[in-house]
Amino acid sequence: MLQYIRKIIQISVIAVILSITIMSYYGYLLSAKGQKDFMDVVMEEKGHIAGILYGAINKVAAPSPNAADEFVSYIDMFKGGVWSLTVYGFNITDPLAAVIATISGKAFYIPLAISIIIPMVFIFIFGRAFCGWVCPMNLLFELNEKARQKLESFKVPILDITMDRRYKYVVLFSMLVLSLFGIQLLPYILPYALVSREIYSYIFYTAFSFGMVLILLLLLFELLVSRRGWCRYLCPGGAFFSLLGFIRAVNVDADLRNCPVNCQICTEVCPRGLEPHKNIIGMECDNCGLCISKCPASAVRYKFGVRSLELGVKAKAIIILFFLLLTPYSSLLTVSYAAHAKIINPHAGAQTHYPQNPSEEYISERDGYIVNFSVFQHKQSDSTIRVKAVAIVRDKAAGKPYLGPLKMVFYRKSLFSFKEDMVYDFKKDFENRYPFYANLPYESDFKVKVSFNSNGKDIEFEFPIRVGEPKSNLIFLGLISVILIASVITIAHLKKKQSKVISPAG
Amino acid sequence: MFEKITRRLFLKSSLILGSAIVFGGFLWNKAAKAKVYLRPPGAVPESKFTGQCIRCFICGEVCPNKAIKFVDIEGGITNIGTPYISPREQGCILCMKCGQICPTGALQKIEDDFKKIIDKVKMGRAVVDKTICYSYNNRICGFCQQSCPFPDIALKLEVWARPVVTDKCVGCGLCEKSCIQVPQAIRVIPRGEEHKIAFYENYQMPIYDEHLPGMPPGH
Ligand code: SF4
Ligand code: SF4
Ligand code: SF4
Ligand code: SF4
Repeated sequence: MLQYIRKIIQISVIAVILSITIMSYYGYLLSAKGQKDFMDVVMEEKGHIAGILYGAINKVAAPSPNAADEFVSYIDMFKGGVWSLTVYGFNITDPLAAVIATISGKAFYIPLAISIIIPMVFIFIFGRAFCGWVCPMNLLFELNEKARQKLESFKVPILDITMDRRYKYVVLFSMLVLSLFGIQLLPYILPYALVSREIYSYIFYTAFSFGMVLILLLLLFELLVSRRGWCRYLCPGGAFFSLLGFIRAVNVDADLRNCPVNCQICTEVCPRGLEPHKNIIGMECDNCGLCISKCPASAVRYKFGVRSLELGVKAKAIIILFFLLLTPYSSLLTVSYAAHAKIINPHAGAQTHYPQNPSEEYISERDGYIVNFSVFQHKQSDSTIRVKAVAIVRDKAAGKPYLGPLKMVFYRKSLFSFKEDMVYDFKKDFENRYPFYANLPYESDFKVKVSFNSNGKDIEFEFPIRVGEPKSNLIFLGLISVILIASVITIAHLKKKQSKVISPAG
Repeated sequence: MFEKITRRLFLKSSLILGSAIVFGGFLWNKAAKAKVYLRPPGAVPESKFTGQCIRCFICGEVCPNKAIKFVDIEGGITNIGTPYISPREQGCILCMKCGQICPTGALQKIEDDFKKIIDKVKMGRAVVDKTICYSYNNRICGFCQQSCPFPDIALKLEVWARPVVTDKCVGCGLCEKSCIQVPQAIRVIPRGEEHKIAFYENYQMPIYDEHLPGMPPGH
């Protein structure tokens, strides 16, 4: 029963974030009266999920044209997610966010201080309960743990790295040190802040951002490498709530006199890695009540046990480094996301869209010349992308634009190298217009060489550009993930064999 | 369930972990070129802004024009997740909703009032790229002035409908959004990048010096 209530609360938290964001987007559509065509397109797009969704909301809400503003101002009273939430115009902010903002901004803002009162009271009563009952990432982690148990029951070798739980305080402390220097990394690491943000990104731009990569990495980490590893050992948010929840009104307490067989199921299920069977619970307990619900009246043996594989410190460090290394690679993906968000953004004033918003812009200076190079692209249909590359060359000494002959060569990326693909030769007599325009028909990564001759000297500029959303990066990232997963499984497999050799009983 | 390790090992590894995070952060900060972004109206000075903003994305949700975007990993570690405006995608219509709702004071509350906005909002300043602006190149356009919320105060038209930006410009970017030239011939330079203004203003097509055959016939 307790667990059902908890699940319902967790799911409704995600539902609240989702509906706030969806309603915000609907509010934007309502406000965009000047873009009526655009709004109609979105709301009436047949067979498209966004069209169906917003069309349905529009039917239900049906604000008359005059009352649209009023309706929007009502929507405006509900904003945000778990990191900071505005309800009826009243703001509730995560105390950790407030602490970090105050330190790194070196400014005290009274409304912010007021907005953390409710969460603080909550923490003083329930301790770390945010983690167990509210955190939307925790729900995903719990589902992930179910998957982990499935893997184990299918005898897939996976790792269970255990660490010292105190590391999360170290992470928290380092974050505070960084924020002292104005570097606010925390909101981009805490998965529960990321979840609401990715929901926002997807609903507003139909593209995820870098945070999604981190979320997936963490899920992978807990699935394959360490059972509930992030929450137990590393999460600075959990550390913060644990510290604040040191003194709390509601506690979980194990009465050892009533424990007949010492079955340790409670310890087995504890998501935080505490030991209720010895009544070692302490401030890190999130009051989720799993141990309470699971404690059997009679002595029933627990079916699946976690194979705890003892690895050396070095092996652990290497595996964790693997995961860290994935992060920079995944930035490749993010570039695609950014391009995607720009490609879907048409010129609102035009009936048929034309590309007007640069997806890439460079200003580069060499030998007294300055080149502005920009790329404009837009989707004509689902499969074709129209692209314009524009170069504006300025002669610094003369204070004039350069108008002579110019050559643009496009090198298209094949798997490992760049091959010459297209050549644009602009003549001096302006058969082509100024600025210099080139059109590209297909999606890929390109290298562009812009060259011209000035007083007998060849001047060359080079710009990397990305046209469309080439799939090569996805494939690359997929390959790396497969290697990662394979190596984790191999290590686990080898370790299992080893332990069998040493102790046949295990 | 959790591994007991010696105090010595814990201290040693904590030191490594902690310094790895801190120095990693610093290195990343150094490595990434800190770009200057156009911030939503009412933003506190840049050095404070990146510190004070908690990346809650509420301003982005409230913006009726979807003008507010959020920096992703490409912006360097101090800028990640902070709101910015990319005027060519969507300009700010100066509704002042974002400042009203921002929970941290990173965006200050400014009343939705013509005089107050002109006095207090200073996101940046628009600059005309005379090399490519139609009006400076034998054509008459003046589109940007029509879209400016403060026409003839922030953006004036001279002879041949040539746009001239004054110091009253608040940097909302509506002109940049509406410019009919591609690439845009008027753009907003965010505060803190004022040195770039001269770059765009100083290059002018030599229209009256020599005759240019085949000058841009629109597109
Ligand atoms: S003032 Fe209004 S339009 Fe401008 S950025 Fe803020 S919310 Fe968006
Ligand atoms: S509402 Fe304020 S704190 Fe939140 S993301 Fe926007 S500027 Fe930052
Ligand atoms: S000149 Fe452009 S940026 Fe400045 S106030 Fe007018 S429209 Fe906004
Ligand atoms: S809209 Fe663009 S091209 Fe037209 S006058 Fe303004 S800056 Fe020049």
